[in-house]
Amino acid sequence: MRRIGLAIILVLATCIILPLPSPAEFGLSGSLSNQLRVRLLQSDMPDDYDWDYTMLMTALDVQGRAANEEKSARLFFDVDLRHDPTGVFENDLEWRFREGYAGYYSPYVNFEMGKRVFAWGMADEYNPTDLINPEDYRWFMTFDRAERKIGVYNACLTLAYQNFYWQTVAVPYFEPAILAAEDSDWLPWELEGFYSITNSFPDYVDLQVERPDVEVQNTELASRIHGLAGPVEFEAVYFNGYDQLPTFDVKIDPDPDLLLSGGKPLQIFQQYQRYQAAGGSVAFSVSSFSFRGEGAYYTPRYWMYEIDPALLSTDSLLGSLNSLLGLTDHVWRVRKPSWSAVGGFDWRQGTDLYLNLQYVHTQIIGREPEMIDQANEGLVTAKIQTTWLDQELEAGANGAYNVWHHDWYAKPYVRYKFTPELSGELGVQLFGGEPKSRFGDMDDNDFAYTQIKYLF
Amino acid sequence: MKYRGLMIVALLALTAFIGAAWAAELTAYQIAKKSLELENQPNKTSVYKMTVINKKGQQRVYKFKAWQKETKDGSKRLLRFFEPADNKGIGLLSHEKKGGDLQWLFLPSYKKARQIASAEKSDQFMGSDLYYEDMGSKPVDDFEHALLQKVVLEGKECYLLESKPKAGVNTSYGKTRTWVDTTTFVAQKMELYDKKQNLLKTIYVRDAQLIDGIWTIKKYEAISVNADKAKTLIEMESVDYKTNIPDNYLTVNFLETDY
Repeated sequence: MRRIGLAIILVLATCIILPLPSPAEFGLSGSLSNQLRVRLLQSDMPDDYDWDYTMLMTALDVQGRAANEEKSARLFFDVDLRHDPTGVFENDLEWRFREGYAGYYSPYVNFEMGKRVFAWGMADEYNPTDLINPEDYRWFMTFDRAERKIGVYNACLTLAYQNFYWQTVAVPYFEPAILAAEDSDWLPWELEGFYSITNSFPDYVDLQVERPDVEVQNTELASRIHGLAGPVEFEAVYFNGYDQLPTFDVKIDPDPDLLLSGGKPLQIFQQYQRYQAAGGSVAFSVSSFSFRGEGAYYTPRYWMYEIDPALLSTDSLLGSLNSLLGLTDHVWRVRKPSWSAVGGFDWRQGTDLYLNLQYVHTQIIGREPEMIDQANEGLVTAKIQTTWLDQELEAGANGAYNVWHHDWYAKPYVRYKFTPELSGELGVQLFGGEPKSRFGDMDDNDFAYTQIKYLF
Repeated sequence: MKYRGLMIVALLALTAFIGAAWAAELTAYQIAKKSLELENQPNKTSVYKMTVINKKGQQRVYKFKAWQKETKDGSKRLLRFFEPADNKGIGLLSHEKKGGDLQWLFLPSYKKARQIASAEKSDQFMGSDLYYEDMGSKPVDDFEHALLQKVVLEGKECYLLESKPKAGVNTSYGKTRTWVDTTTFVAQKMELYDKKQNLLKTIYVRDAQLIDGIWTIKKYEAISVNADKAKTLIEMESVDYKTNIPDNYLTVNFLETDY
């Protein structure tokens, strides 16, 4: 499918760009960076723990643009090549074709086709209506959301008139989120619990991944209307597509003959569920404050229940059989609707001080205590930035605190621009809270990092 | 015949006198309007180079393209940076009209535009001596204009205007003094004062040329008070008044998709 997509893009670009007599604009830009991360030692580390670097990533990112003089035809691509010897990538190398799309643009109609990263919603970092692109969670959320996003193949039609536009996106090829590997330090505790089942009964588990086929009825659709009413900017969004995070269905055949004959009585289906979402966002400014709000309602999706570890026992074949029988009546998941909302503001004093504060609330409607998912219920996020030395030196911090589960993360940093092209950054990322919480789960992964980046 | 000739001469002299008298009686408002109209053209596409020099004499150079279009209720402007590398793709969209201005800032890394608070218009533009407000047009009707006197500035006869914002106008300046060339109506020098009447900065026009029949400021310098060596130099590298700017260029959608 990827090759077909690339071919389509190249053909479209050729048809749009080359026959046009007007001179075109071409431009290349990008960055070359190197980041080193070192895990911070903590008091409860084992005595024989040896320091290690958890990332030594060198990344080359290249973006290209082309357009005719009237800007009625444009092409954009973004590719990167990353090298990291810490074992995340196969052969330590990964190439990403993040974006590549071409489009036709007129005063009232735009049509674009290709692979693309969208950014919907007016809140910062947490966007309940920004649902089109999956994300790369191999390093949890230590990279910003814009960098985590994975491009999707799509066709996009935009109808525009003055300050209003209506945009509709069709995604025919489903892309799931990329999760941390089973042996990764970034694997969340929910998946650890799940993998404990498959690892407890490796010989008896049949894991099947069910991914939506490329069929018309499986095409995802997203639509938004964006406009301006006086000083208030607003957006209304509708989404009909797949949850990029998997859910698991489990079927157990307790027949002892199947187990004894070497069959696989435990079938696990990794599925991607379809749902709908409706929501919107709004933004306006008053004096030196900018206010933003965003929210969405999601139709019922499956949420997993937690598994009692006492049910898992593999001392012997008989023990395994007993465990499986104990799991037969286990309720694995339940469908519930949910909603999410973000509200906040940012404030600036001159160009040297910036503060952003938001409250994020995510609620599973009818949530039961046995359910695994914690989501982001009651998250306060903050961001502060300040600059000195004619904006050559920047210091700041991002952070979040969950008022329900009391877990948190903080990312303070310092960045210095040696030249407009070359910058160096030093920072730490810290996590804290109870073990079975979003950030507390990553408590052992606190790290310090240094990055050097060259822009061109 | 003799009397007829004298009559014609007298008539011509009277016409010249009336004309001269009429020209000398241009009001402050008319002078300000003629001067601002040079900037507020129906369509203007230009490329600028901005050099920001700090107190140590270190330079930082920006290049950006500007699309500007007058609308029936104000003006719209889009700036797109293409140098230096850390600013490439940044866009600033301004909708200026009575009842309130709106501005959006687009950062390529986020792929979306965000509204800037109105008070931020008094922030320094890209760390320069100019404010965001200075990058937008100034509607002549937003100010009360007074003609102080005629003066000679660097060999050019100029009207010295003083302009004060009317009540309710959102601006960081309490007063502006402008030296306007009496022949071309190009502003030669501007002194900008804060609300307490303290001088904030002075803008010197270093070069103006007649392009497509329109007097155009090609180079100007902004120097803040107590600046030491710091100043900002703006040079216009190219300008196009003839090409009609499509309305969709000056929208949030274009700001987010063309970078």
